[in-house]
Amino acid sequence: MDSLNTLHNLEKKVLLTLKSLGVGRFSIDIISEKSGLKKDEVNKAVEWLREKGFVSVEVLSDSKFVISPKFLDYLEKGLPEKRIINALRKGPILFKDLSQTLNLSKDEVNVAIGMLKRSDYISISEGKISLTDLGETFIKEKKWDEEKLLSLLKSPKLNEEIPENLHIFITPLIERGIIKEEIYSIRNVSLNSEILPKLKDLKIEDEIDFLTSDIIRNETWKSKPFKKYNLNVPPPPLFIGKKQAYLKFIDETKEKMISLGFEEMEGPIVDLSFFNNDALFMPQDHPARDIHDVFFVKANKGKIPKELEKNLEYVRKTHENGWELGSKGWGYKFSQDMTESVMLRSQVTAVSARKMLSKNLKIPGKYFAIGRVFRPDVIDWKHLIEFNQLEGIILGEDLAFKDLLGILKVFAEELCGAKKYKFIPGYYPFTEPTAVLCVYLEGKGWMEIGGSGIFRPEVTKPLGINVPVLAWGMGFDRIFMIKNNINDIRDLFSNNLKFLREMPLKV
Amino acid sequence: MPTITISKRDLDTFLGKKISVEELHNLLFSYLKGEVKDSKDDEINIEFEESNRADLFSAEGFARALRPLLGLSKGLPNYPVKKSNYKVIVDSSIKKIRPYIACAVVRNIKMTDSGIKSLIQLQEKLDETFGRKRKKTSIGIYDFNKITFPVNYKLMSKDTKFVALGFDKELPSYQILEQHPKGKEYGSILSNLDEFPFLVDSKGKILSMPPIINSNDLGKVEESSTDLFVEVTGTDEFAVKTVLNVVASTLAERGGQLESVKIKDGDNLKTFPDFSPLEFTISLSDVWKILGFALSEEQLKDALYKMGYEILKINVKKGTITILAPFNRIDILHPVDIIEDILIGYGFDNIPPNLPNLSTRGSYLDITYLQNNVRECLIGIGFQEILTFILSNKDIQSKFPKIETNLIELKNPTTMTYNALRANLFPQILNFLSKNTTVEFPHKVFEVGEVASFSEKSNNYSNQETHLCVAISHSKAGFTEIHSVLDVLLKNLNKKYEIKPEKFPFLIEGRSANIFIDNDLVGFIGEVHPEVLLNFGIEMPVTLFEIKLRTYKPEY
Repeated sequence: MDSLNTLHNLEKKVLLTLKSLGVGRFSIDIISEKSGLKKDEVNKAVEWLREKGFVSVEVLSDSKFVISPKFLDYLEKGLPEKRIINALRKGPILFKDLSQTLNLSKDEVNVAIGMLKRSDYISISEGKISLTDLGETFIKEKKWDEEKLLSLLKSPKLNEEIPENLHIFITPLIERGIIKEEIYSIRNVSLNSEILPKLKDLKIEDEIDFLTSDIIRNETWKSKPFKKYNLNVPPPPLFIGKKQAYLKFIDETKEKMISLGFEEMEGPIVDLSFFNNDALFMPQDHPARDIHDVFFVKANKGKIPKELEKNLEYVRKTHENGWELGSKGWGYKFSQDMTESVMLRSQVTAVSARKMLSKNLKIPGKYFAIGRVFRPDVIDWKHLIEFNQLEGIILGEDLAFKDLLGILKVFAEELCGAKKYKFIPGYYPFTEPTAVLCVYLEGKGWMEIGGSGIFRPEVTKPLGINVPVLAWGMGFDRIFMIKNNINDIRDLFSNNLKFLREMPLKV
Repeated sequence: MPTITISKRDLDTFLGKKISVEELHNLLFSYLKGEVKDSKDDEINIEFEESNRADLFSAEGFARALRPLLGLSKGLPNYPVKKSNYKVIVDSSIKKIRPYIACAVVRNIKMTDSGIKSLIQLQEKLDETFGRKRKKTSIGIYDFNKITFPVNYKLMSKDTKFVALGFDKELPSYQILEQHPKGKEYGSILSNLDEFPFLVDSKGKILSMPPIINSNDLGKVEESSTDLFVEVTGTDEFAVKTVLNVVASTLAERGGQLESVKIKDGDNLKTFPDFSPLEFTISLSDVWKILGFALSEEQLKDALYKMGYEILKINVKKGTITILAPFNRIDILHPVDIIEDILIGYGFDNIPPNLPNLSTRGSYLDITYLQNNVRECLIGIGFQEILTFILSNKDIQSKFPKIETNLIELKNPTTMTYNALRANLFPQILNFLSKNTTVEFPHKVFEVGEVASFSEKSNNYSNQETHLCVAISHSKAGFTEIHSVLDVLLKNLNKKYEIKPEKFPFLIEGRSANIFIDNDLVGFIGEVHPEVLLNFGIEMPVTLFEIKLRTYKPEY
């Protein structure tokens, strides 16, 4: 049980009021009346005290009756049946005129006429309504106590607050929808017995609750004690502004690349097959260029820019017969339509191809890009149809395979945090030699996380590059998933706000 | 990535040595760009990275590559071919469709169960991968004893009738394309033609209609057949020759005796199989330049022999080496392919990694700086950053009139959920909010991302922009709150902006506006109309704005 000292003044007042009321249960209304506190203040304090175990709360439900708001005008104008009878005393009225004459709705008229007819107070003939003798008698004796009930029910009343003689009217008026029953709950509060002895010393002191600038300025704090807070109360939730975790990882990776001396590059997400494939010596009949492996766009013909026409010609010759490079080439007829088809980028290597063709290319130079790529697949926990790749190239006169391994080693250590790594042979149509980076991660074992190589002369020469180009690409999503123990790749693009809010910040 | 299944018993027999699965896996991993996927009883499943090393697609070929690695052989394999006079005559009509053919005869071969499986697998994998689904090359195998030579390779009418393998009645060829499973699979290679390629023997009997299907009589190979006729047709001369070499040498490994076939093409007479090795002279300095250092002569020779090459001579003065590559190495296009083999043979593990000493300056793209400033600002205000797909749905993206909807649609979507690229971010953000109606409010989210729309002006037919969309949703979310966010953001970016009231069908009138920066329309701001919210299943007010941060202009 909490100490009484740290109680809020509202709580103290409620406790003292309950003590003064003696043994028993007391409603919020009574406590409010006796203590002089507002009802919502009492409610708040009672809730706090209940959580601390100082009081018990018994919740009872009861019915109250109240007039429906849309029939409030009956209080002034009287019930429909009364208005109809009063009107009939002046003479018969046509049924069809009733509604308009008395300003009643059709429903109200129908219900009232039905009641009066059943009791034979009125007669109807040829659409004309007249008062019967019985009706004349009735009207003289009738006291209209129903209206007393209605006026009483302007504010909600408990059953016991309604006089006995009016009870008979309650049910019929509920059925007609004129009054309604509301269920409400009453909270009765009682002191827990073990607290009683401790209340002896409980005093309401004048304490400082919220520190205000007035209090500071007027030096009230010198004469009054500060209220002691209960510091164990859980705070209300607060949502901070946060980077999306995967994008944060991209930020950190970019920072690392910059610190290694790489220049960031970019390319369009919708691109010509020329940049995505042909310029990379991917043969046009290669299975990875199939309609099942890349997305094409409708009305998909683009054009090779004029200034690259020469390069296109070299690329075409290289594919067909190896051009002047001492290569066999792929031995097929190169299609202009295919190279000009427009597709969604399927590998960020397309960005490297564009960079190698750039007028601003620097040699020596180091470039990287993190970009979205698209490939058809069935979406499940292991596969998405769009994801990110980290790619880069290094151009320099004396670069060799051992330098490529040096770069891969840095990636293994810096990006993956791996202590053990190895390089194995691999295959891409655009690199030779090719090396695949495998890293050993605790609890995961050996994993392939990136491909790399030296661009083939069939790639570089047609693009006008005469120095070795080291190229590499990383399964970027995979590294993030491993580092953050994420098993479902769809979580990288999570649309669950709670998940995003609660994802811990990791280095 | 081709996967092949081989028999462990077969492999041990061809190697002449028992090898453990683990040892096999390590050799594959270190030298042959493959790995053992799994193994059960006698079956081993192997996955290869390189679709061009088609010489490995059988236990026979595989053993051939393993032998030098295990020190069991050195130099090139040798398969005797007996000269014969069997002839295939190429008609000039075929030239424009499928000009090349190479053939061989294999005698006295005993086809075991695993032998037949292995042969069928080799044929299928070669057709699928290297043969580009039979377009570039395709393989046919026949019972030699049923054929009367010479065989003619020629075009015949698409009405030519024959019984296709597995069928029981004669049909015109064009109907076979429509009805036979293989016709349906590969028929597109011959579509639009009036005449199809045929192999016909001297009695006029049809062997097959390459590259689709064999005939049911001459083209049916029984288990009891011991003599086979093998042909490869295709569009690339070197590929056709080499694929035949792969199949013929594989059958020779099985114990078959090879006999040659002459191909008469006009005045030209060629004899197959042509097992002459491929000769290359490579400059040693090229090898050292790619590797990064020089190997000793011993190391170089050792690496080459391991990878199955023969060394003709090393010319120390000129600094060159002349080598012979096995005739079945389809994948060698350029000396760099051999240089890679030298590196692999030497062992990647033996090459010390070296961090190149290039002094370059690292730098971000301008757009990265801008994006980071925007993101930092919004996160400071308390917004959660989100990430959605660039792929979107055509209907979702286009149901907001007045907003640009020149959508880029996919020609081959895999699912209707993602059949277009997003041209705006806010439909994605509304979609995001609709998925979080039970998550504690307030929702304050934003995304910075690429959007694209169709544009005839650019070479790649698209206009790409970087957009920012910011949305707020809670019970009291209103225009003023989102306006404050826009205001503080653009002030911090040092941009003067103006908003001009504008009607949007999806925003509440009188609470929506266009946003201008330096008189350029860059976006819109407003309270989302309740009808739109209900369409998304959202029952909480949403206010948002979307602005363009830049238009991306590629160099080409």
